[in-house]
Amino acid sequence: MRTLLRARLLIVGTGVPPIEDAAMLIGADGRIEWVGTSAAAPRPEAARVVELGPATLLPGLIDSHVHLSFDAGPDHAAVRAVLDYEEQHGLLAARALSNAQMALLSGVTTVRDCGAKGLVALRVRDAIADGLATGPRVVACGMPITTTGGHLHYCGLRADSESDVRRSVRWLAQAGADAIKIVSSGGNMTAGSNPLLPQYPAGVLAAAAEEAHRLGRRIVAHALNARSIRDCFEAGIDTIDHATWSLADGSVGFDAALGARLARSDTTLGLTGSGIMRQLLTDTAGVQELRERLRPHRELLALGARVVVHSDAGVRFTPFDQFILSLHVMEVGLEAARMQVLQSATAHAAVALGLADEVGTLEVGKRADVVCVESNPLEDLNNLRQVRRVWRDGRVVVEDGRLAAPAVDDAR
Amino acid sequence: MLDNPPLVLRARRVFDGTGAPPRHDMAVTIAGERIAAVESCGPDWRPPDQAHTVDCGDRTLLPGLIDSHVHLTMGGGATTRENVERLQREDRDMLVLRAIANAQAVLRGGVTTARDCGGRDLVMVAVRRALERDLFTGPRLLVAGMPVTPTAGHCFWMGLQADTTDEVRRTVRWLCEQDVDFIKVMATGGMMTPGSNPWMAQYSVDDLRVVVDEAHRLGRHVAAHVLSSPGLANVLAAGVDTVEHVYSITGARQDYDPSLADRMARQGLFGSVTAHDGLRSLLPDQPQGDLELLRLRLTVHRRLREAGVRLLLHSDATGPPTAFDSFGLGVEVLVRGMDVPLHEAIHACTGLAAEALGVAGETGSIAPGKRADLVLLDGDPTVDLTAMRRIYEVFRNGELVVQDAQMVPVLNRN
Repeated sequence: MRTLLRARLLIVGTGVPPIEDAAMLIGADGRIEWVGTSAAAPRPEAARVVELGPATLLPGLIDSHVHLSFDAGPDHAAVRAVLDYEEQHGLLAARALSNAQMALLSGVTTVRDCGAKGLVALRVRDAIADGLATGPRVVACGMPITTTGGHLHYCGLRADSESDVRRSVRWLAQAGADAIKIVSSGGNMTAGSNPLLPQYPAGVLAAAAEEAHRLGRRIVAHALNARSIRDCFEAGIDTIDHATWSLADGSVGFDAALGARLARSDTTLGLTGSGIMRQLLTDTAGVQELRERLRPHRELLALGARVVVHSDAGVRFTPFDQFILSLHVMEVGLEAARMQVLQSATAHAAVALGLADEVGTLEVGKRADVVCVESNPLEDLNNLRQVRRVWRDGRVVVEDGRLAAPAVDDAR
Repeated sequence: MLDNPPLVLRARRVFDGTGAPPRHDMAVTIAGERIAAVESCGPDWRPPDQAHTVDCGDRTLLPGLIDSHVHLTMGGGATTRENVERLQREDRDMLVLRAIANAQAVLRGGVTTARDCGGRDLVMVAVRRALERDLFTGPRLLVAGMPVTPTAGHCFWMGLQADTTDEVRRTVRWLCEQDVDFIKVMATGGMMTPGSNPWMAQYSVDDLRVVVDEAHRLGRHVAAHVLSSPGLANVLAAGVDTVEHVYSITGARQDYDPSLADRMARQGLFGSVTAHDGLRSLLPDQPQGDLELLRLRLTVHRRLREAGVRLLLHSDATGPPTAFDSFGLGVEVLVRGMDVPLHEAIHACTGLAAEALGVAGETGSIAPGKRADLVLLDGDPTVDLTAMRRIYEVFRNGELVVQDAQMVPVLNRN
């Protein structure tokens, strides 16, 4: 059955001004058939009409970098200890599903898992896709490819030589990974891995990208320092996440010439609004520090690069229902317009995930992944907290804080 | 939760789970996780101070139901055979996710306590731990892990086989070490395992005594799968706690032995009626409905009841055709197929089941001090029995967990 939604405002997600007194027609196949003003809306017979009054409709949010198997504990060591314990006791699948559902309840309809212990994120993806559980669309990378002792090595996939890395990409594709995650520099979460230097030479990254692309997968890299960012770009990595541009002395650098090339390319750059960044929002000094740390992203945005905000949920004090705070980090840290922030977390994120034809905007032909909030988030991003209803593929999956039971025919 | 004001459910009809007929115009007060008061609403009745009172209208209040026999790691196929194949093929994480989905379906069906009588490997122990860690909302779980069965025995494909007396003893100890809640032992072969022979005993009395002695020593009760008299004779001699199925209800042969029924009643062992799809589908309003056949299938269980055997009601759900979310149909099976009064049928899956499972101090009846595990049916089952299918709300530990067939998630508990 088709559904006609009517609401005061509709944010398309492409960056165009919002549609006032809007209507949207969702087809029986769960895709968007028509979007425009209510007055001009077609009136198909046998369509259910849903009046949403003063509410705002916007594309389901896309959190392009999360770790479903992590528990968002108080510090890096605790997160890792819980990860090991829960893996050993068979609890990770439940943890990952719970995290995914928390994201969905907050209006996130697609997540990309950028590295889990084992293949648990693939199983959660399948359980949701098969209708066993209600949850967001999950794009799963499986285990991140890293070096022995490298960042996230405890997820279980270590590859040191170029041939090991190629085989790892192939193995992940064979296991059913949707995308490939490679850890190009060390990370703060893994003591002893050096975030300021590359883990892999540029040639190995290029081999990984070549294999991933040959097998039809996009490849996302963790990159914290200037050299790793350059290497990832040269290697043809599709998404460079974090991109903090840390220099050897710990300061933040930015290479304007490389930035200009990045902005002209199809490469997307991830902006991490994790708990540690969110904490800086609380006072003036923090905001100043936040702006200094995010100077590269601000310049990239000004240059026209696709900057995609993500939460890194699952890492220390970054729970899954707080993506809205990551959006605040972008708004405040980059002094970005709210429409730019929303575009980043919807349309641009869809590009980063290779799903631009499927989700990310409320345009004809896209899957109807829609969030309904009580008031206009363009006036205040906090309005995204009042999630009234969420649709995935045209089906109501969240209503008034309740998760719909799977396989119940309640497409409204 | 404890900071919330008490919630008073004012209900026109309350089955309290003790086996008594329904009580009328009652107020049940929930404070935190437990039931604080159960009162008649006389003309002078006033709700307690600062309580939030909800009038349940024509809805009927029951204790949260107890399904004493499910297999939550199964399902996903179109047939039982497919379910068995899938169970052996899927990896641990997938089975955990499947069991969570099934547990939530069970909860939506009004069941707030489910006893899992065997799954693959130790998946159900992990699932119960996940529940304890609030990683999902589900019914209270009692899990056996894997059933104790011999090589080639019923459900050998769940992953555990024990043949000799020493192996049986070590297996029971090992299961307890792995933190199971009770022991399930397969005393005869079973229908789901072709070639296991349901009409013969799989274990001697001596081996079953070892199972019972070890389990009881370690504080666990024993549930025995039994489909025929040779197995029943052995479990009666060994003194297990609950007898699952007792006799087949599939229309296959039944070697009912009245002397065993008398002995079972004397010893006070709990028997059970397996109201799975084979019986549910015979309810008169179902497509294959056939009341006469339903009553025929339950002949033996009617005789067991007449002999004084206390019978629990369970579903033995393994996924469609026996859906996890339709436990209430079993109550209709008892009422229609065995002429059991409605309040007694409800007792068989509330108070009586709680007693058999050793959880009567916590749940199974609507009484002060018990956990607030409650079900609100849409309608009056004393007038229209099919109200047993219409679960409107479910409370577990005082928390509203299901409303209108949707899960009510509880966030940020971790």
